[in-house]
Order: sequence, then C-alpha cells, then structure tokens
Amino acid sequence: MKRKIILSLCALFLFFTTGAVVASTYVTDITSRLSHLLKLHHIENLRRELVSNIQTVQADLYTVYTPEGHDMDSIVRNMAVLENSARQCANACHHQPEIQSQLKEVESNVAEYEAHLSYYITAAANSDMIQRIKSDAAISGNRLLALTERMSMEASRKLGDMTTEAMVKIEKVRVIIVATLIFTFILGVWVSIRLTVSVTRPVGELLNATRIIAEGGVGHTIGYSDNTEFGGLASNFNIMSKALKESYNKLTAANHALQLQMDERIQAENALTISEAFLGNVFNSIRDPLCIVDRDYAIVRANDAYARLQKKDPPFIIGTKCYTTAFGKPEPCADCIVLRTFDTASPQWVEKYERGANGEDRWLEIYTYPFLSADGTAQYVVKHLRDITQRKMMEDEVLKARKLDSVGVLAGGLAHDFNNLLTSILGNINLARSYPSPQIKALERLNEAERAALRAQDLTQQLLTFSKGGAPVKSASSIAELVTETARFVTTGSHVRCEFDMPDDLWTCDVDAGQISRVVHNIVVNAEQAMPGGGTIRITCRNVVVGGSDSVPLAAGDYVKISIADTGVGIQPEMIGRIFDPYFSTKQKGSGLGLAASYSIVKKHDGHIAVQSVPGVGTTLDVYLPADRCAVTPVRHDEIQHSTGKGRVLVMDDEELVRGVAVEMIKQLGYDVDYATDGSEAVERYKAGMLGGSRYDVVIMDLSVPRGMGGKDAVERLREIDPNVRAIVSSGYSNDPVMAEFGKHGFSGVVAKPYRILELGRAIQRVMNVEA
Amino acid sequence: MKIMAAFFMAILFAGVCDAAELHIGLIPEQNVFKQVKRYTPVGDYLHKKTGMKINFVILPRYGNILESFNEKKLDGAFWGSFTGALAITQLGVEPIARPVNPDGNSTYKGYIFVRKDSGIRNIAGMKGKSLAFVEKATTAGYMFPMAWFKKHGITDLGRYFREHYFAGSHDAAITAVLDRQVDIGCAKNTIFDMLAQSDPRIKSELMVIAESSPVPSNGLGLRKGISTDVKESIRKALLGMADDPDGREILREFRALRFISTSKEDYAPVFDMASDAGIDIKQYRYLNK
Repeated sequence: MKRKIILSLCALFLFFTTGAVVASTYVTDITSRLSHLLKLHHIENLRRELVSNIQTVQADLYTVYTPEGHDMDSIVRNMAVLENSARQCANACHHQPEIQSQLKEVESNVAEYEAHLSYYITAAANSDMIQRIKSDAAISGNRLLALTERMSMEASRKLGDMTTEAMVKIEKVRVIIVATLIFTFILGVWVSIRLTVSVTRPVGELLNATRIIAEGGVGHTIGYSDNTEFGGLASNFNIMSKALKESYNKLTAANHALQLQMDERIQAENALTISEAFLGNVFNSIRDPLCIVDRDYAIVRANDAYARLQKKDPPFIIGTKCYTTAFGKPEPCADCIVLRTFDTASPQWVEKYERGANGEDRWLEIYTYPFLSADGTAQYVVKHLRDITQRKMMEDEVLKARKLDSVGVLAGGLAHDFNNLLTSILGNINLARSYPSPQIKALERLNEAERAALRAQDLTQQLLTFSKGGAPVKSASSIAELVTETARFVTTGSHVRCEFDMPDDLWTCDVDAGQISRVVHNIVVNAEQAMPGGGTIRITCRNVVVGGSDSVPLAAGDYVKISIADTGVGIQPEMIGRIFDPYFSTKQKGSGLGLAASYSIVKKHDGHIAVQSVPGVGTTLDVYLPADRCAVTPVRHDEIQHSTGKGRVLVMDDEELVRGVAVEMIKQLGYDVDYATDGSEAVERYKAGMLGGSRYDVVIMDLSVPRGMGGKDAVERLREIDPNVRAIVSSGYSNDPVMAEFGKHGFSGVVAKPYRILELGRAIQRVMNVEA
Repeated sequence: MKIMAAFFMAILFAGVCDAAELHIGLIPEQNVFKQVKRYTPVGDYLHKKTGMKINFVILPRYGNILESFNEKKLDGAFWGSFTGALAITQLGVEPIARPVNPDGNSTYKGYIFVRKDSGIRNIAGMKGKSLAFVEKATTAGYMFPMAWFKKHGITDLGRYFREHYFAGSHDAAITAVLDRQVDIGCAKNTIFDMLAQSDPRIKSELMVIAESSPVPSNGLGLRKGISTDVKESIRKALLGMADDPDGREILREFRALRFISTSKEDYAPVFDMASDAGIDIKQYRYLNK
C-alpha cells in the first residue's frame, strides 16, 4: 500500500511539475518579451520626443526674426534639447544592425543640421546668401525629421507585431496552466478514489471484525488478503483474534474463580461490618471512658464516655494526641503510663490527680492494656479511665471521720472525768461565793477560778463533740434566726460587721440548735480574726437540692446552705486540707478544735462543711444542713430566771464530789434533798419515800455508774413504781443518745455535766412545771 | 549729477558683488553648438570651485558684438584676440586668463586658405574670386586678411573680389571653402587644425596661402564693475585646473594644457596688426553685413 501511495503521488507530482515547468518557461519568455516591449515603448517615446524637438527647432528656424518667432538663443536651447533626445535614442539598446545603421544616420543628420543651423546663426552675408544658408538648414532639418518619422513608424509597426506575438504567447500560457490544473485535478481525484478504496475496504472489514468481537464474537476472523500492509494487518488480526479467544477463555475461568472469591470476601466484609458495629456498640456502651492510643500517642479510637469526659464530640478526638486532649499538655506526661505500657508490653495502673483539658481538677484511675502484635510488641494501648474524684472525696471524708473518731475515743474518756471534776470545782466555787460575808479578795479569786473553770468546761464540750456522747439533741429550728443571733452575738463590739442575705422561705432544719450555734460561732470567730483590720462578713443562706451526681459528698435531698465569707487573709492551698484536723490551727492562740468540732457537729447532723479560700482575697465556708421543710417551732430563749423552789429532790451519782456539790446546790435552791450512790439505792429510797408519804418530786440521776445501776436502768424501775416520776438525766457524755433522746428513755429532763447552779435550777424548775 | 552717477555705480557694484551667477558670452569661433558643449564643463568646474553659476550665452556675429554684450548685460566673455582688444579698449574689460593649446602655445595665427584644386596660389590668383571672412571682429577671420590684402595693395574688396561675406565662425568659413561654396576662406589655425583632425579632407583638399603672426588665444575677460574678489576667485580656479585631477580631465576635453594668467599687454600684437589693417581699435565701430 505504501508503494502504491508513493507511486500515485509521484505520478501526480510529475504531471503537475511538467505543466508548471512548461508554463514557467512560457511565462519567462513572455516576461522577457513584455520587458522588451516596455523598453521599445520607452524608445518610441524618445523617438517621438526627438521628432517633436526637431519640429520645434524647425519652427524656430522658420520664424526667427519674425514677430511671431523666437530669437537665435531659442534655436540654440531647443537644439541642445534635440541633441540630448538624439543621444538618448542612440544610447537606448538596439542590437539590430539595421537600427544601428539608422541611428548612425540620425546622428549624422543631427550633426549636419547643427552645422547648418550654426552657419545660419553666425553667418553675416547678403540676404540671398543668408536665405540660402537658412534654406540649407531647413532642408537638413526636414531630412532629419523625415528620417526619424520613418524610423518611428517602422518601430511602431514592429512594436505592434511584437505585442500581438506576446499576447498569443500569453494565451498559450493560460491554456497550459488551465489544462495542467484540470488534468492534475482529474488525476488527483482518480488517485484519491483508488487510494481511498484501497484503504477503506480492508479497514471496513477490520472495523466489522472488531465490532463482531466487541459484541462477543471472540475468535472471529476476516477473509481479506493481499500483499499490502492491510493484507499483513488482516493476517495478524486473525492471529490476534485466535489468541484473544484463548485468553478470553482463560480470563473467563479466572473471572469465575475471582467472582467466587469476591462473594466470599463480601460475606466476610459484611460479617466484619456486623462484628465491627457490635464491637463499636459494646465499646460505646461501656460507661467508663476508653480510648486506644498508637505509638505516636495519637488516639485512634475512643468511646462515647471518653468523649463525654473530655467534653468533645468523638470525631474531634480521633487523631489528636492523648496528652493534649486529656490534659491540655503540649507533650507526653512525665512517667507516662502509655509509654510504660508500650515499653513493658504489660498492663499498667495509676491514679492521677490532674487538671483536665477543660480546666476541671479530678482524680482519675487509669488502666492500660497493650494491644500486642504478632511479634509480641505492643502496637496499640487500650486506655481505660475512671473518674474517681467522688470516691476520693468520700475517702477523704472517711479519713477525716476516722481521725475524729480516734480523737473522740480519747477525748470522750478525758472529758467525762474532766467534767466530773469541773462539776465539783464549779459547784464548790459557787458555794464558796454564796457563803455570807466572804472576803473581797477571796471573792475575786473565786470569780477568776470560776471563769477558768468555765473556759475549761467549754473546752471539755468541744472535746465531747468528738466522742460518742456528743450526739445532737435535735429539734426543728429556724436556721435564719439561729445564724443571725449567733453571728451578731459574736461580732457585737467588734470591728467587723455582718451582712445577711437570706430568703424569707428558707427551710427549717432539724438540728441541735446549741451545736449548730457553736458551729456558726466558731466560723464567725475565725472570720473575724482573719480580718484584723476590720471588714464585712457576708452570710448567705440558700435552699439547695442536692442530686446524686453532684460533687458535694451528700446524699440526695433538700439542704439549707449557709455560706459565711470573709475578705481576710485567706488560707494557703497546702493548708486547706488540714484545717478540719483536730489541734491544727494557723492562729497562735487557737486551740485547733473549733473547726474540727464544727466539722464533727455538721457530720453528726448528716450535713457537710466545705471551704474555699484564695490567699489575700478571703475565705468562704459552706455548711450544708438537711432541711425538713417543717414549720419552725420558734426557739424560745426565754430569760429563765434563777428561781428557787419547794419540794423534795433525790440526787443519784456515784461520784461523791459531784454528789456533794449537787446536794448543796439543790439545798441552795430551796429544795429538800436526799441522795443515793447508785440506781438501786435511788429506787429503794424513792419507793420508801412513796410508801412513807414523802414522795420525791424530782429525781436527778447520773447516767453512767460503773459499779452499779446507772440512770437508764434506774428510771425504768422508777417508772414501774411510779409512772409519773419526774426524772432528770445527768451525764458528762452530752453526746450520749440517751442524753439526746432522754424522753424516749423515760426521763423528763436533762442537764449536762458540768452544770452550774443556774442550769440545775432551770432543769428542776422545768420538770417541776410538768404535770406529774 | 555726480551724486546720481555714484548712486548707479553703487547699485551696479552691489549687484555684481552679490551675484551668484555670471553670464559669460561665447564668441562663435566654431559651430555654436560645439562651442557651448566645449565650454559647458569649464563653466561647471568654475561653479563647483567658486560657488558661482556660469551661464554661457552665444554672442551672434550679426550686428556689433560689443553692443550685443551690453544688450545682454553680460558679465564677461571668452573673447577672441580682436574682440578682446576691443573690449579692453572700449568697455574696460579686464583680461583674466587664457588657455594653453595642446602644442604648448597660448597663441593662434590667422590663415588664408583655398582649395588646392582652385588654382589660386597667391593674391593675384584671388582676383574675381569669392571670399569668406569670419566676421569683422576677428583677428584671424578679418583683421589679418584685411592687413594682408592691404599689404598687397588691395583696398577695395568689392572691386577685387567677386563676392565677400562673413561666415560668422571659423569652421563655417573652412566648411564653405571645403564645400566649394566660396573660393577663399579665412580662419584661425587652431580651428583649422582641430577640424582637420576629424575631417581629413581639410588637409588633403585645402591649402594655406598666408598666415599671420601669433596673437593671444581666446581668453576670459570680465567687465569692469565685477569685484576684485570675484575676478581673483575665477582666475585662481582657472589657473588651478591643471593641478586638479578633475580640472585636468576637463582641460583634456577642452583641448588645452592649462590656463595661464593674461593681461592687457599680451594683446600688443593685436594692436599692431590692427594698425597694419588700418583699424583704430579705440574708434572701431563695425556691423557684420
């Protein structure tokens, strides 16, 4: 095919080139002729100009020295022009000898004409001779004119012949060019058709064959064959088609096998998806935060609990660094448990108190488990976190309670004995002062001794709150009234003042008013001492409802929250954890028992006390007390008059000192008094009194008698004898449940040791006023 | 009157001094067309060297040549020896320069010639013949033959010769004798020899009967009133042509070796010859008829 195309194109090119060469030859010849014609026309113009100049000179000659003519100078000037024309004619290219001869003749005639004219111009002779000379000149001019006109006519004729000949040549060239173009076009069309058929026929067969194969007829062959490239292509196509069929068969078999594998894989992927979803659900259903970390500390997976812990959406956690997301740090934590797990390839555990990325301080319990690869190295680490802040707070509370219990055991024993001693001391001081005419100095000493004894009594009461005997004696109380009165009492005459913020509907609380008053007393005193330069103590009371998940370690329920805030020096952070410890004080003269006792009292009321302090800014203590939302029974702080009474009183106490003081005090109060050393004796005397008609109006019994019947058993026996017996229980263990709930145990009143004569008189008076 | 004359002189002088063009007359010593062609390269050379355009004008023989000079308001002319002497004497023209011929002379002589086949060999043979002068203001073409005829006792030309006229130019006189239009001719030897080079018939068919003593060849004379600077620049340009390659080429075509300076004294032979011819140059008035 290539040879056919080349031969066809060569033939086409050869034909066209031949036509072009012939046309070009003719064009060259015509161009030469036209150029020659142009030159001849130029010469012809020169010749005409020469004729015109001769005629001008002749005219000058004929008219010289006439009115219409010019002077001789005009002849001279025009002859110069004529000669110039003749010279140009002569210089024009004439190759023909005939023309050359004619030109020489013209030159000769011009010279002759000049000579005659010059002769005529310069000659000075008679008129006949001048006319003869002029005539000779005119004849010479006419001869020259005739010669040039004849030459011009001949030249014009030849010019016409040459122009005609050139036009004939041009027509020939036009015919040759047109014929060449037409035959070239026809030949080109014929060659194109032949070549197109030669190409399209095999290509068409190949296209048809490829279409058949594309429609599935793999292995189809074509029948076209020749010795051109298309024949070779057809042969190769048939070979290729056969090879394609074999490959197709193999591919079909492989495809079938692959399809089976794909089905299996899809099934496996579906199973994997289900499994993944199942595991994801399991992962997210775990309430503890879980995440999986790679060796670059990047979180590759995290459950919903982890996201909640970090207060972020799960998609924003994946890919982040665990130390950044969890703790807001730019680099791994010191002693990183994840790193330790990767290094050891074994589970690890740690408790951490950290500030989270969201700014909250918390206790975290972290377990890590290595995700081992085939070679035994940890590829990932599963991190299991547990927020144990609540538990830690509870543990702290328990620890504090244990501390207080241990102190309480010791303090309770000491306080009991100490109370008995103080009862005797105070009683004897009272009695000594009551004797008539005591010496003034002795009276001052006694007063001083009494004040010391009262401070000791107060200290003893604080100690007793740690002991089991300090159980609160609860009653519905108005917290607002209690707090207000206590705070004002403490700050009266002080350089600080109190501001109160309490709602009108503040709930009431079932509390031991005395103990809670002591708590408020202790806190306000601390606040006052924290502001030595004076200031304001802001006391706020609110009704609060505590839920189970709150950070406050309280059971769910209603509470009244008392907040006492000062603007004092504040407490250093490292000391905050110890301020409730017994005997811990930041004050030089502090006992270290005030806040410890307050803590103990609040805990015994099932409440909670917490502290917040910023050094240099101030301290706030919050006291939570369970509310009962009951109507308040107003606490009547009547002014109880120290009054005497009439009646018979039986005192039972195993301590002779206490018994003796009590007997004397009761006598001072105007009562008749007997005594017994234990419960059995008291029962016998009461029985004897009833039988003898001298019934005791009031029986005062010590609660605890180590080597005999105590008050609790004795009152039961007395109730058996006399259901209307008026019995008062007395004990140094003021927190003993019997003391708190004396009514339940058959007593009519209570008086805590140590007591003064005023308190004893009030207790007797109260039970005496009760209907027997 | 003196004031008016001074005024016109001043105008004339100023006009000459400021003229960028000089009108120079040519004496038709030969075919006027050849004469113009011969002098035109010299004029172009002077234009190139002095900046002044040279315009040549043929002075016709018919009438008085000095009058024609004045009528045409010419600034100067290449005078013949006789016309030069007339112009110097009557018009006050100052001679500037004249050419040196190829033979080394800067003079020419006058010829009286006849055809060899005419049988004329002397003055006696001329009786009753026709005679062609050149013109009345030529040395070779009129003054010399007149002196020669007078020397030989002929005073009345009309009675001795059958016919005489003025051919107007030397070559015309030569051609007239050669062409048998006239029997006796007069002309200057330079033109005779020049024509003989192109036409061998002149040497073979003509013969010289008499020749004059040499007189200065045709030279350039400028009228009075032309500034000295102009005259000197023209003189310097002409004298320097032989030292300039372009000038030498033009001189070769002009058929001269060089130009030399010329003065009134150089024209003494002309005055002598005029005396011999009975012509008073100071008073000479003529008309070519």
